[in-house]
Amino acid sequence: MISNSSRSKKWWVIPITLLIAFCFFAVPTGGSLNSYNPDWISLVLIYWCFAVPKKIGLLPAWLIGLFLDVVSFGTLGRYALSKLVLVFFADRLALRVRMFPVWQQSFIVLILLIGETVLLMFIGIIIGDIDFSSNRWIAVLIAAFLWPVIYIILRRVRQWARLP
Amino acid sequence: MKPKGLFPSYRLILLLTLSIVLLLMDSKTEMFSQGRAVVSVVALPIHMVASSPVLFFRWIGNDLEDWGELKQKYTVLQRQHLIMQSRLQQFDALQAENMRLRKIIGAESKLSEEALFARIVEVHPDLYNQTVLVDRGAADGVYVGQAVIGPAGVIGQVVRVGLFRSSIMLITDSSQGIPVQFVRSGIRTIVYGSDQGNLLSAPYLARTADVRRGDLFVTSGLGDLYPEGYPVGTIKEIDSDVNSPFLSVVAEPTAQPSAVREVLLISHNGNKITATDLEKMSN
Repeated sequence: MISNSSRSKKWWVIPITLLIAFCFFAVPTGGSLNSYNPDWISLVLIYWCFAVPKKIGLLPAWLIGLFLDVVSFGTLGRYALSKLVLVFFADRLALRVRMFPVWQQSFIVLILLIGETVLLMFIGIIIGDIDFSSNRWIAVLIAAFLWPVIYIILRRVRQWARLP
Repeated sequence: MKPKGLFPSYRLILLLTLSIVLLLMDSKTEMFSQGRAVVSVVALPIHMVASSPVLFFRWIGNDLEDWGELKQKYTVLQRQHLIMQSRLQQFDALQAENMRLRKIIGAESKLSEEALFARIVEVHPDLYNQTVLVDRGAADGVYVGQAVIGPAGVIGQVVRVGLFRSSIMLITDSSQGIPVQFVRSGIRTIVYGSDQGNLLSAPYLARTADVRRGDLFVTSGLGDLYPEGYPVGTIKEIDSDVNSPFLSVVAEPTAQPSAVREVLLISHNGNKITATDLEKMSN
């Protein structure tokens, strides 16, 4: 975290993994299967919050959400708000969660994602631009099941990048 | 820890307020529409990468199609083309006749329409609604509220315009309503998308309404958003509950909006069809 040791640390892997998550977010899975696509960006954000707490920060999280609002052609501020709140709570939980085994982390991730989905649903009802299919809850479950995979892959990335 | 603990929550409240202001301003006003059209160009590379697996598999699929299959497809298409052509000849004459008759009874003539061809981009832009992207944007003159028609019927409407891409909300999205008219009985109603996949629902049909399974309904042209006369869907199931004054009607869109690859963006250009157009048509 001190500047002279940060030369060997490849912090740029965080934006790169997020960019890959953005691509996965928009991948068409075909017809009605689309609504089961988990929110990869939330998963990657949660991982980095847990792994390097307080490093992402609230403003970058908000900007990432705003970028997603633009990329997804949605109402501006919707994802900005949801990612901001997600990162805020993920950061708060990070130090506790790091001690947990992966499957228990999955449970925490599930709760965080349910929270985010409820928030998005709430915003959608107020703004009136949401088509909330019940499949989203299944997508949240799928995301929680995917957590160990994300965790293992991103831990490799983190070790390779020599992040703490 | 204590003074530092205050700092993030102060920033959190600031950003929360900012998000809410953004949300309200973007949903109630058109303030950001031009800016976002330009900024949305950043989505191009992301969507290009996201669509690459589908395009790759489709390319492989096309390459593996054998000669006989292609030839068969070609003959089918040729036959379809011939049938369409002959129908179109009739259509011109019919339209001219229709205009003359309208003039006689003094009805207002229909608006003339212009169509812009567009391809669906193979991405799924948002997880929380049923939108698709097309490869036309503000640079091609696309505007918000334009009706989108597929080969078999109405697909949806343009909801947001980028510089080179626009997003289209499908009629099967539960936030969408579309004024329709039944072809057989002439009843007018509004059909909504439903949250159960690719279906529509018509909640405002009275229990005594003359509707049957398989009835086709087309756009009625009311509401000035969708032009008149394009097929929307057919009735799939009708349930009548004694306790409810309305039928519960489930319908199927004629165009499977999520399976379409090419669409037309229809715009009224404000001109009524004139006498000279009429001459041209009858010649």
